[in-house]
Amino acid sequence: MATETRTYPRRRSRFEIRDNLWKWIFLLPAVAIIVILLAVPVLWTLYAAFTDLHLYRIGDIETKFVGLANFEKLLSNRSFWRTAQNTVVFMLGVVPAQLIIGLTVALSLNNITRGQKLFRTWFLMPLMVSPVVVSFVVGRMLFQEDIGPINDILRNLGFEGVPWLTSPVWAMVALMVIDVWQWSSFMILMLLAALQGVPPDLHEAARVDGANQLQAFWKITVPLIMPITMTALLIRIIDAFKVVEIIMVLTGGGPGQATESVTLAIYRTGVKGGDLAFGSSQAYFLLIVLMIFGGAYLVLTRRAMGKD
Amino acid sequence: MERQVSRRQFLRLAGGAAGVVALAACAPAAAPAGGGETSMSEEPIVIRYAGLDGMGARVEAFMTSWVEDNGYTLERGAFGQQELTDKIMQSVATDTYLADIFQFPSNARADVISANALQEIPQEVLDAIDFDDVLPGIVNTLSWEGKIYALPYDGDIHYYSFRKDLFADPDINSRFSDAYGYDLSPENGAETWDQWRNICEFFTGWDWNGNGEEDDFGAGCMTKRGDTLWWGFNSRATAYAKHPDDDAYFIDLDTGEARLNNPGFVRALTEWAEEMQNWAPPGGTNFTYGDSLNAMNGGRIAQTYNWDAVTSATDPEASVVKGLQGYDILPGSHEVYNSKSGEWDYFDVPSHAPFHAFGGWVIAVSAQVDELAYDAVWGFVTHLTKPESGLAFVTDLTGASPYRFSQMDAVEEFATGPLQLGEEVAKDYLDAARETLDHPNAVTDQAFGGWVQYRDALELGVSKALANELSPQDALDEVAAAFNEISERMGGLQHQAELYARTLGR
Repeated sequence: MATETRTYPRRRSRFEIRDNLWKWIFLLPAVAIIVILLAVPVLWTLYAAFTDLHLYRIGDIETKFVGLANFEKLLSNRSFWRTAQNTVVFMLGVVPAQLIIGLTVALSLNNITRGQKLFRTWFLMPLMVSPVVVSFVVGRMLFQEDIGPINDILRNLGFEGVPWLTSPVWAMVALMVIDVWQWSSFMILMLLAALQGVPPDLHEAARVDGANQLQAFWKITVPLIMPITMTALLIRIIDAFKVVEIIMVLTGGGPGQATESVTLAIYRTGVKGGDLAFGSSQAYFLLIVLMIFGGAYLVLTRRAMGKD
Repeated sequence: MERQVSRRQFLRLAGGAAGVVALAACAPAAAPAGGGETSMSEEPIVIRYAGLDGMGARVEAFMTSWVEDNGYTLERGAFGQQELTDKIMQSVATDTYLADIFQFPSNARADVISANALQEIPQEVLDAIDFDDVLPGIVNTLSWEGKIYALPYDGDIHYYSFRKDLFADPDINSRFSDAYGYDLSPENGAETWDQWRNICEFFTGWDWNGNGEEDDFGAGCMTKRGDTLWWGFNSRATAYAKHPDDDAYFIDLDTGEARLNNPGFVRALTEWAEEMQNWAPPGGTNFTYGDSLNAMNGGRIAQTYNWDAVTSATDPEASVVKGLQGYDILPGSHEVYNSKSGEWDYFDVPSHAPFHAFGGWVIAVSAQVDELAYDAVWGFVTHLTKPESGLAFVTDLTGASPYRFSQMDAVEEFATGPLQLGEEVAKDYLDAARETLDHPNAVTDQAFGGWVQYRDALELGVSKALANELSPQDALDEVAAAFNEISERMGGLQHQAELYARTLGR
């Protein structure tokens, strides 16, 4: 026996709010928070970059608009370009090293059957420590040139102590070692997650078809982990561009200006020095560079992976 | 048409909401009370104090009984050194409440006082703490345009300290005399920077501390950029670059032009770089304040200059030089560069120009003091800085240094009190302090507004020379150019010269 079902038009309450409106209402707090915490400072900084605003100017001196003067000063400022050079060198030194270490450890962890959880936790521990603590404990104490344990071991082995913090080259190396030690964990975490997402039956099929391990790695594993790898790389590149804590604690930007990063220079100019105008122009320069780089990186990555 | 807004309007209006929210989060829970007569008698009185963590804890411990006896409550905000300065400067710039009483670096006095952030110290408080007893070098760090806005509790200056025991050793002295043609002085150490250099060279590379290794050095100084390099370099440079006939040191008082690249400064940097590269322990061109202190207290170097050389040397856990150090005013020089004539002048008696490095933390009452706590706050600072309390504070293990004439005579208290210096060391230390603070050619630290930026510019240049990135002349040319540029941004060379004159008490 068939039953007939009838549908009736739903009665609309006088006070009913349409679905679309509900979405906006629920979105509103988040949007408001983002506007207050992100948009206002970003716009305010942009405004400051076009003025001569200084926090600590004494007397009745008006803040005035100066057009592009801060950006002109920036482009001709040798000191700033030195910090830009240091930042790029640092990024080029740490990110590839973190990728190689991260991939190696992640592959090993993915292939072991016993103790994986223990080792995974162990390898992630550096990530949980504050960069300031890492810089002080690993940096200032281990790399101390006079009585630090690394130089002590080297001297006991008959070598000369290394001028870790007083040679421009070695100081940069010391910073890279610390950053790689701490942030390789992040690459391990991301790449291990990617590796665990590779379906094992693809490898089994490849083996049946006669592929060796290397071929399976290049033809199956690498393409499948590529999206997460590229995302992780982008995050690390942006982080490396913004490095500041470990430099402040370990070298203070020295010797000379050999290890001063753009972000440290911005902090010194704008926050400590009170020159908000010039500091803002530096900050905007970094933001624009990162946006261009990030955009280009994403486009090129998508093309390389054949998504466009 | 140029649209102009004042700095404060700009900060209040443009950054208003975010700034207020952020600062409110940093400030103590309760805002200053409006304070009606009725509520005043009922509400508990809270004194809010913002200061360094370590020193503030000692202030709190020291003041607890007074606070309790009077029925008040003390809320102490504890900050790191840089954090405290940043917080104070931000609260001054944005005109927001931080605390009723705060400790601040005297270098920042121009910024803080000229922004009307402080209460002028009432005459009755000055009378109650016997202000005439405070040494002139310290009074200057508390004043602005002839008025007193802060109170002292730490006479921070650089002392020269040396290994008296080594300098008195007949064998060592005879070898030194053979090498350099004069005797080491166990009373004064190095009288001039030339002698300091001889001592640096002589004590480097042989086992004078008897630990079986030739890892002993002549000197160690604070050389790390972003730490205390500003003070390390200026203490080394003043004897060459501060002429007794000229009040100015950093910039010319007439033109506002930076002097940092004149031959006096260049000579100081050239010599200092050589000393730190050759006669200091490994890493000596990147030493923090603590590194140099540890090297001295650990018996690795024969001489240094520093602030708190006394307190840390008394710690048996960290020091092997307790009772073995001599103290004196910073070394002087027979040759002093005269910026006015552009010539080096020769002095038969070495000219000293002790640097009032940092000038000390001072304590002040906020212009936005909680009205309810007004009397309590003044009572608090009066009790903390009056002669008896002050003496107890500087003779304890607080790290604070003496700042009153009466404290300079308190040999007994320093010798047998908590510091346990012994009479000879106590006398040396107090003589060095008095001579430095009361010296007619003493150099007041930079305090003419924007000092953090000037400091960073000098530290960058000097650090480049210490790392051999640039020659001393080129490095200091960069510093001078940066100084002039900062001055322009701060209101112009003349404007900064006028402020400098005011910080010198002119």
